[in-house]
Amino acid sequence: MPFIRKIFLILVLSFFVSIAIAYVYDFDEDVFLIDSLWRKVKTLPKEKRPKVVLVLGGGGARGISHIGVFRVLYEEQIPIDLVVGTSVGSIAGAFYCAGLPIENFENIAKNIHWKDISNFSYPSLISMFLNENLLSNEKLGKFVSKNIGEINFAQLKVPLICVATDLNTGERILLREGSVGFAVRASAAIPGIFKPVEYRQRYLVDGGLVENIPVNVAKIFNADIIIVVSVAADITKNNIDNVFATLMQAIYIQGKTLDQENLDMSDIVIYPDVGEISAFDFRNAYKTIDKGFIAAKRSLKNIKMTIINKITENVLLE
Amino acid sequence: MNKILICFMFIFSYSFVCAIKLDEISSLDKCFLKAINEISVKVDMAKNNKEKTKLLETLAEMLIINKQYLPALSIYNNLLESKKIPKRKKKEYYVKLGDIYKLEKNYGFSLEYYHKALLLYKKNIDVRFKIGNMFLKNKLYNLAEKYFLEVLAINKNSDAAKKGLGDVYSCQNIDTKAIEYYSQINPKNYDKETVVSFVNCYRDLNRFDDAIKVLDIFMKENKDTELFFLSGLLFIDKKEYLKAKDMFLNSVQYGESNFRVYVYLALIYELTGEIQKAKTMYDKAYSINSSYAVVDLMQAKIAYKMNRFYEARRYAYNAYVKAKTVFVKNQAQKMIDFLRSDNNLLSIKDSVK
Repeated sequence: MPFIRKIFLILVLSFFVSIAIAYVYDFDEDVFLIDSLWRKVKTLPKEKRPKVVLVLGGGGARGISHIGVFRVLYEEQIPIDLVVGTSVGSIAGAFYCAGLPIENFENIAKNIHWKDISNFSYPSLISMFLNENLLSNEKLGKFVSKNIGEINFAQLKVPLICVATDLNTGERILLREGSVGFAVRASAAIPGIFKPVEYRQRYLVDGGLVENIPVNVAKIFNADIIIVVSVAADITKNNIDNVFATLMQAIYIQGKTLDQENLDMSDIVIYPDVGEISAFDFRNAYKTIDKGFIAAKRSLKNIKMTIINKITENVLLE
Repeated sequence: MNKILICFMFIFSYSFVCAIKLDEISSLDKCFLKAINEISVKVDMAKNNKEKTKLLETLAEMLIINKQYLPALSIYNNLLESKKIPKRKKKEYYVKLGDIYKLEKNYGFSLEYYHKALLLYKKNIDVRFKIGNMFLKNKLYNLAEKYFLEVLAINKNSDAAKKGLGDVYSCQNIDTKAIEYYSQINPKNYDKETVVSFVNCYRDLNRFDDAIKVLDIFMKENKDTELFFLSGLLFIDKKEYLKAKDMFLNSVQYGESNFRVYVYLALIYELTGEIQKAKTMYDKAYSINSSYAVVDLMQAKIAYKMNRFYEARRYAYNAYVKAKTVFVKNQAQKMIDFLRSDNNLLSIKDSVK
């Protein structure tokens, strides 16, 4: 290769190399700016920032992953102005809104058994089918009260709304006053397994029947930002080899379309990777919490960015 | 004009030096080719089969180094066809063939030869490890996991397998499990890549103290600008800004062209109220890479704090023009709007008019 041609080639190459060198160190501008702004945003008073509503979906034991989400929200100081929960979302919401330390919450979840919150067991299930006598989740109300105290909604540190269903009319019932333990019990009374909970001449069952992911409720209460935690089952991976599993699958399929409509209305959806975990399997609480934590961490940038974008003031120059 | 001339002179002299270097490299290539030719001649003149095999093996090795894979492949295939070839040699050639196909990114063939080698020595660790790594590289995590676990079953002390398993889980964001394997590696066998993955797993789980411990162990003997930078980020996560500052300053000491370090140093100076120092750091970052809008945005903020409103507005406009993401553009727009409406700015603007 002649010497002059080599010089020309290197001149061209060095131009491109200099551009490449500039990008050797990867730098996420959004993350840096969010970090810089967040120091101020988290200290803003309520009236200067958007109203953030956390919507906690139902999903039985998969809902343990809500705790992992709480840890991230707590550690990153994400402001939550209202929590709306259905079924296990109500249970987790009650613990969170009562201000129970996350460590305690995690310990409770890691040691929880069906016998702590109901008289559910395989023999009792068989007896239920034979005698047509539904099981009771009365223990759930007591379990909640034992851990957060016998408190009313007004005593919660963060406002909470529990969603239940009127078994007679199919109406969505919002529980936001009176005993927290009682409301949680009504919101998580799985129809066909647990006895409905009597409340003001109504028979209430699990809110998941009408709104498993109650985004509509968050809208009613003027949410500026809706963060959803969806712990729905991955219906394609469910085992449908018995009557009970087939019934559950039918409920999941019916709820899926409704869930999707609600998810479309939200601003941010956190999806813990728990689709394969059974709604009745409390054994993997440790892993389930981790899955919630990881999913929330992944959504963190989006959450902070959405909150910052909705603040009208110039936080950067404050 | 002078600046352009100096710049041109610099580029020309740089190109001149590079051209000389390129000449040296091509002369090295020539030497290498000459050596290959010499060995080829010697092969033809070899006295016996043993000598011929040895020469062919050397030749194949040299061809691989010179990226001439096809002739190397045919040499190994020929060697495999020869009679009375010992089992150990057969395995060696299969592995070599597997390696060559891997270098050519022909993973199917590579796997085939590795498996042939494995059939000869069923408890071979190295081959299993190679297969595991190949699957890992191709993001076939379940298969990679299988082979690394097999290596670990044969030799429970294999740090390479533990590293492989750690990587398999960390790539899938299963941080807890990745940590389980990374923490079993003997710290003496840490390498930078492992340490960074290990630390990032801890960081993902907000276990900052554990992450710092791992970094400290490795950095006792390995000072590196990237690792100091990572350490600085961990201290920022912990809100220990002074320690973070020390780490970033160390990072600068070991690599002056790290743009990110200056940006984060500036942020820390801002947090500790040292505005002038923050500005100097942003200026340095800017001199290394001026393409990031966020640096202009921060410069605008600092200029505003120093009551240099015109400068602030200029930087804000720059940020708006350069912004590559919607979020940064929105923030730049917000700042421009604020600076437009600011009374101080308007009064200065009027006085200039």
